[in-house]
Amino acid sequence: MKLSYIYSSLLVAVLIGGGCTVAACSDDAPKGPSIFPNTQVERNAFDKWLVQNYANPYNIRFAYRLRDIDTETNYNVSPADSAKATKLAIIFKYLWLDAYAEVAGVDFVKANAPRTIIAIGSPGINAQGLQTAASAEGGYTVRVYRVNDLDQTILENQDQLTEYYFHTIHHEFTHILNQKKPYPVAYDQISKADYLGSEWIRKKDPEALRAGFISPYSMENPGEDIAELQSYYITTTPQKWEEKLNKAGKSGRAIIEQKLDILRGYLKNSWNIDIDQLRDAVLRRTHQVSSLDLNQLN
Amino acid sequence: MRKYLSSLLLLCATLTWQSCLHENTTVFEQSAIERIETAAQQTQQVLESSPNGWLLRYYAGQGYSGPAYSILMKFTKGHATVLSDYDPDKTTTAAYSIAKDQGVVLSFDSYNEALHQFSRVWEGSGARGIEGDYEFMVLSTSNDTIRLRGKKWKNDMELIRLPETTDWKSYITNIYNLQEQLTTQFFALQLGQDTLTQATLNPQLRRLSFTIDNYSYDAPFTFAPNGIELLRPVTLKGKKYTSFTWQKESKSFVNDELSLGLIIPKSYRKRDEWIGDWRLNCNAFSLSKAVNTRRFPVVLHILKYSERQPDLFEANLTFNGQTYGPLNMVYDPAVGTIKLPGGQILADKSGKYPGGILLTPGIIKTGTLVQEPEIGVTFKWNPDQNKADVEYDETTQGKIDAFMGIGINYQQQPMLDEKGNPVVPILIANIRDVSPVKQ
Repeated sequence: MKLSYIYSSLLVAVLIGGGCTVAACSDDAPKGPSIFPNTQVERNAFDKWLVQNYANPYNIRFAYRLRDIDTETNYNVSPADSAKATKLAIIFKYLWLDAYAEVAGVDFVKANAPRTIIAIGSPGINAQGLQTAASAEGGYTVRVYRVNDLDQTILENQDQLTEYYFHTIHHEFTHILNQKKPYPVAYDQISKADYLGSEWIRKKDPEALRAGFISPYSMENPGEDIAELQSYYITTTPQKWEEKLNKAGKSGRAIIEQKLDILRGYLKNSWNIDIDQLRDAVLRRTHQVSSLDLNQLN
Repeated sequence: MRKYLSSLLLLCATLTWQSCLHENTTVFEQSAIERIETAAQQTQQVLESSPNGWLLRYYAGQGYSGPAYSILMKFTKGHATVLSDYDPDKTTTAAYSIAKDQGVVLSFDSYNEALHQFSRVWEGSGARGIEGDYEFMVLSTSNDTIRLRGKKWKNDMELIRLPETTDWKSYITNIYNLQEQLTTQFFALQLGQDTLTQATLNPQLRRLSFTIDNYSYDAPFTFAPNGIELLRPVTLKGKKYTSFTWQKESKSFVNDELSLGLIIPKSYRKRDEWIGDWRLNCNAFSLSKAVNTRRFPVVLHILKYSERQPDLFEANLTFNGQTYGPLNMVYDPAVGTIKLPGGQILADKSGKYPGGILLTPGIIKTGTLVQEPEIGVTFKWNPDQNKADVEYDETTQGKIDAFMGIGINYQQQPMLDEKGNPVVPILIANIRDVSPVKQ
C-alpha cells in the first residue's frame, strides 16, 4: 500500500516535470543558418564516373584520395596515383562486381559487397616485414594496396594481375559471405588435425597441396582455408586446376575435392550461386581485360 | 527502506527543477562549422596567393629523428607542384585538399611522387619507413609563414613564402652543388681561433651532432642554396647560431665567430688525381707460371669517370704484356679512395678467351674463390710515401688476398684444361702497394 503510494507520487512528479520541460522550451525554433554546409561538391571526371558506376548501381564508395581515417594506423602508406586508381576502378568493376552481378544478380552485389573500397598507393608492411596486398575489415571496407605498382607489364599479364590484386579481393569477399551466412561446420572437420595457425608460413606449395590444402595460407585455419579455396577455384582455369590437383597426389586431391563439394553446396544453397558459372564468368572477363579501354571513362 | 525511497523521490524531484533561462554568452559570432569553413577557405587563399610558391622545411621521423629536406611547393587551383632537394630531377603535380578534421588540415591526399616518397615504406624499410607526414594540421597562417604540424608523426614545420625572384631549378641545383662539396662527414667546430670539438655533419641524413664537455647537440638541419639552417640553434657562450653560410674557399660553414670546417683526411685524394697509370707491386702468375713483373709490369690504367655517375671510373689492366678491359672502379668521395671490385668480365682482344676473363677475388691460402658482390681491393693514398696503400675486403670466408682471372668460353662457362681445372690466365696475388707510373 505504502509502496504503491510512493510510486504514484513518483509518477506524478515525473509527469509534472516532463510537462514543464515541454511547455517551457517550445519556443526554440531553429534560428540562423544551418551548421551543415550545403556547398556544391566539386567532382572531376573520375569522381563523376565513380558516382555512375560504383555509387549508383552498387552503393559503393571507391576512395582514391587518401584520408588517414581510411588507413590502418600501424601501416605507413602513400596515396594512390589517380590515373592508376582509375584503371583499377574500371578493372575491379568489370572483373569482380560485374562478374558477381552476372551470376548472382545486381541485388546480391548491392547487399553484400563492401561499402567502401580504398585504393592505397604503396604496400603495407608490418614490423615483421610481411607485406599486405589487400585487407577486409568487418565486411564493410576493403583496402587494396600497391596500386602505384599497376604498370603496363602487370596489366598485360593476366596471371600477375590476378595474383597481385584479384586473388586477394575474391578471398576477402569470401570472408564477407561467410560472415553473413556461415558455411557448414562439416568443413572444419575435414582437415581439423592439420591446421597450423601462423606456422603455415614455413610451408611450401607442394607440401600444402599434398596435405589437402590449396595453398600454404589455407593451413592457417578453416576460415582462411575456405576463402583460399574459393578464390583459387574461381580464378584458376580448369586445366591449371587439374594440374594443381595432380600435384596434390591421390590423398591430397581427395581432401581438396571433399572441401570443394561442401563449398559448392554452400554457395548453391545459401547464396544461389553456381561456383562453376562464377568461375567461367571470372575467367572470361579476366581474358577480356586486355580489350578494355582503361584510358577512357564512359 | 522507506528512508531510501524518500531520498529517491527527492532525487527524482530534482529532475523537474529545470531552468529555462537563456543565459548563453556569445563567445563567437559564428558557429563552429562556419568558423572552420572560413579558416579552411582562408588557408587555401593564402596558399594559392604566392605566385612562386613556398619553401617547406620538412622534418621526417618521430621527434625529428629522421632526415630533413627543403621542399618547394606551389599551390594552384587545388593542385600542388612539388620539387625537393631529395630528388632534384623530379617535379610532380597532384591535387591536394584542405580537410577539416583536426582543425584545418593541409592534406596531400593524391599521389605526388616528390612528396610521398617520404611517407611510404618499401621492402627492407621496416614498417615505418622514414616516418614522413603527408597531412599537416595548420597551426597558424600569416601572409608569409604558415605553421604546420605533421598529423601522424607530430613534427612542427613551416611553409615560408618564396620571393617571386627565386628560381626553383637553381635553388635546388645550388643545394645539390653544395652537397657535392661535402666530401666527408667530419667537421671541426671552431669558435674564433679555438677548436672546440669534432662534429659530425651528415649531408645525407641532414643531421648535425657534437659534444662539448656536458653540452651535447644532435638535431636535423635543412639545406639552403648557400648553407644550412639548423632546426634548433647551437648555443655557445650565451649566443645562438641557427643559419650557417658555406664558404667555398675555406670549406666551412660560417656564422659570425662560429664555424664548421670540413676535415679532409690525409689520405684523401681528389677524383681527378686518380686518373693515370698505376703500377701494382704484386706477385703475378699466368697459367701457373710466374710473370716477371720487372719485365712485364702489372699496370692499372685509370682512364676516366662518367659524367652521370662521377664515382664510377673506367680502367684497363695490362698483364703480362696484354691489355684487357674495360674495368669499373668505384671512387668514394667521402674519403677519397678508389676501389677495384671483383666479379667483372674483362674483354680479351687476343681471342683466346671468347667469353672474356672473369676477374674473381680469392684467398690463395685456402684456394677459395669469393663470389660475394662488391668484394675487392681499395687503394688509399699515402702522401708520405707517394704511393697508395692497399686494403683487401673481409668476406664471410676470410680476407681476400688475390684476384684470379678465369677464362670464359662461348657458352659463358669457365674454360677447363685437360685435367678439368679452370684456365687461369691472370693471377694477381699479394698486392703490397700501387704507385703512379711517371710519364
